[in-house]
Amino acid sequence: MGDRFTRFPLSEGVNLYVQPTTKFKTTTIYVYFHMPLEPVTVTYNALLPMVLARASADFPTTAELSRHLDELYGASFGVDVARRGEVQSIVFQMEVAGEKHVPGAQGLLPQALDVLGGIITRPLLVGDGFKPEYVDQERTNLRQMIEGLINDKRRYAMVRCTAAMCEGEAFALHRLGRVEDLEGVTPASLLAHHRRVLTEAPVDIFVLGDVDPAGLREEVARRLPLPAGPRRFPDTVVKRGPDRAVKDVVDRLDVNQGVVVIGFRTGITLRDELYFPMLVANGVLGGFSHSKLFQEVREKNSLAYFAYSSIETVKGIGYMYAGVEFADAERCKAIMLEQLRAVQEGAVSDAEMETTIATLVNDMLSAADSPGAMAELAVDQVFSGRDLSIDDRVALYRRVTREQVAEAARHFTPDTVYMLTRREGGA
Amino acid sequence: MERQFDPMLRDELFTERLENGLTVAVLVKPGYRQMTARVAVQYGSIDSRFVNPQTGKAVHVPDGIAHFLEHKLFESPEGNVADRFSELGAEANAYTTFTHTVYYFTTTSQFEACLDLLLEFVQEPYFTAETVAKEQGIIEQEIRMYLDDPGWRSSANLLEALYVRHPVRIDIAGTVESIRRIDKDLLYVCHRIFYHPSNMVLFVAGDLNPTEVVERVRASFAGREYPAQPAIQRILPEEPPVINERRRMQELVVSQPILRLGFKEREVGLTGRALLERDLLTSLLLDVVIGRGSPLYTHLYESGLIDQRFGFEHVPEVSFGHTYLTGPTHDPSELEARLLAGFQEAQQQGLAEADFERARRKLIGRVINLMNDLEGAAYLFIDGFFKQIGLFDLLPTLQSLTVEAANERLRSHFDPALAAASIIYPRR
Repeated sequence: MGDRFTRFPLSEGVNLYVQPTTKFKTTTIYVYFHMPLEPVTVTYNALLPMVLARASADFPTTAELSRHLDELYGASFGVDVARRGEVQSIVFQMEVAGEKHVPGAQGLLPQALDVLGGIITRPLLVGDGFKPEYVDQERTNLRQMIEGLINDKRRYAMVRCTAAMCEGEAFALHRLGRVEDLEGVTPASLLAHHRRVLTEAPVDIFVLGDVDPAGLREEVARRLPLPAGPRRFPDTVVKRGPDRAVKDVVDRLDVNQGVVVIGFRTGITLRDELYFPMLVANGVLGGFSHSKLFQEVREKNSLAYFAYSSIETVKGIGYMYAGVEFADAERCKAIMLEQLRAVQEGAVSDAEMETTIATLVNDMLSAADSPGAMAELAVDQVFSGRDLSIDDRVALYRRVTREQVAEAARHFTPDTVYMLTRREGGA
Repeated sequence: MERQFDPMLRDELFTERLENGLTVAVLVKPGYRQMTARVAVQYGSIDSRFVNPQTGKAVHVPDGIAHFLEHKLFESPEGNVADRFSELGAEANAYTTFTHTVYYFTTTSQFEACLDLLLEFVQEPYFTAETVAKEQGIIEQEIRMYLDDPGWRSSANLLEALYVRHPVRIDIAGTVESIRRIDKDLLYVCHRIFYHPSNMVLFVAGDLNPTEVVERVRASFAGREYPAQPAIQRILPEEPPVINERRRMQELVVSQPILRLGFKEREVGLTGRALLERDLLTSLLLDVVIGRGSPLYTHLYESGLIDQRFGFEHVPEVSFGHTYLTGPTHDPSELEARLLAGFQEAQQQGLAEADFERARRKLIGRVINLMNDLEGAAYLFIDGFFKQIGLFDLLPTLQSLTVEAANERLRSHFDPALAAASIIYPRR
């Protein structure tokens, strides 16, 4: 079976990756368009898929499109915009039931591909732009999504920390874009941007399911025709450490619990030799419930319900975060930094090493059971330029030594300390 | 061992009831690398009043104790049990709902060792005054975290508005005050009563041999004595068929108001096929009336009253039930009025056969989709088990439903007299 995608280049910068498998009851398709993360286009890239998803030339209202998907046994369709390093990817996703599970159904996959291809390449046009009402409505929706980030305090704290840490860099931009840009978007300017995305973005298409690769290749080329164009993969600027003193940022809101986020530069990306040691270092430090942060902050000191660390491996940054009582914030920060120091000094037990590697290996092997996780791994592959199977990755995890973990952890350089706290005199 | 096969899903399920009363179910998933096992205990947050089967006396324990017990069971004399799963390369976790508690692990290796550990730790409680005190601090932070979560708050407020006395109106984690009243002796009492094999089910899924799994489970229980225990008598207050209050409001740090509109079930107490039919009919009619393909949804979306975050769900439990519709909106009162009017209009017009069939197809696709991963299958199995609904009852029941029955359900359930609203407003 292999748990592996086979690559079929369709045209310059457009690749189809297929994994035939009878394991899943559905066929899943992901289409990624990779654009540079830039102030002038960030909002356009976020808005475009939302408008495209509303209708197509074939299904000119949202209700018709939605009802057609229902008829295809609830084929699920969704759009998203993702950020990896300074690359903003527009993502289209379609999942349709395998025909052998729905007796009597015929041509479900070609029909689903047709809908997807129509949404991406044959949009509903009115005059020289997209349908103005749909643009207006999605502009409002996007504004509300951006403003609504504050509803989830933990995620909001991460977003605010990143923006402060990477001020002046493209990475400070949120994947959903900026409220202030929305006013200037018109049905015509958004359509011009659509043209740009279709011709300039490198495209990766992933398909998993009970499919025949040769036939599928033909179907995709026919039903999802993309124009020729200059497609250049966007770059990310990686910094090894901050070029200034550690920044302190405090936000005050009427909240019941504080959130501490410490942002780090690591400079280690998935192209580096230290990539796998870095994943292990993050695991030892705070990736799991057996990790030092969870053990010390939550289990030993009872300070928090959650305390974790995470890393971003295209831009090369990392975070430690916890939700705490306002009065405990300083103590919590001190404990967190102490844990990092321990990993940097190699104070990592055999059990911590073994457990972390075993858990990471388990996560890796588990990916084979999830179409979404397989596609994500394959996108990492595109970014790293390294073609590694799941088994290759498992072997690389198992080769990581304690010394490498300490070395990777030493690349964690504190950049920004962020605190979400209570408003004075507030709740 | 009983074997069931679903011809549409093409899945095989094996079940066996052990001598001690434990049901073991194994879903065979060829080709999957992951393997999962989940112990579900019919003990949730609503079970804080019951008759102690050993003494015959009614007991009232502090709110939040089932959830507290879930946290504490991970403690063992050798330390945290989750760490031992990690050492085996497995991920373990647990959660508590209103009606049950679930402990589980997912792994890609050493399945048998993990299964042994799972069965061992749920059967071997270990509490000390010190660890109980420490957990109070952690759970207090968990409760505080949810106090800032608008989705959670809007849900909790709706339940308080819909229900007059039923304990579903109390937070699953209890309150900062109620968890302070929990001590190790109470935890031991609750564990002994509720963690009896006859009150539990074990669900296993993966590329596994069901006979070997059952033998392993049997061996794990060999040598453990469980005195026969009658079904636990749970004491639930009489819930009147009216709502508690029409509206609940709260201010939080959010960007926009959030509306949650609920319709309370008039009659409860159904189980098995009857409950499943009610649930599926409700899901189907909700999709026809307010799903993405409906005129009502289009109208609300295009007038800017809802966005893609709008959602709805029917909650079918044995002792309570309701439907809710929720989403952020700039005008909660207007949205509420339009939703109520929309359901009223649908009741008058009735559902069209074609729309009903389309919703049925979509729901079939959703079940197929859920059964694609072990997580989804485990959810469906466990959620149904204590309601006496089988995993493979879903698709055949779905096929048997009629549009007439859906119309009847539409008319009876969406009664404005049994509707309540919870609204979160942005704090100024």
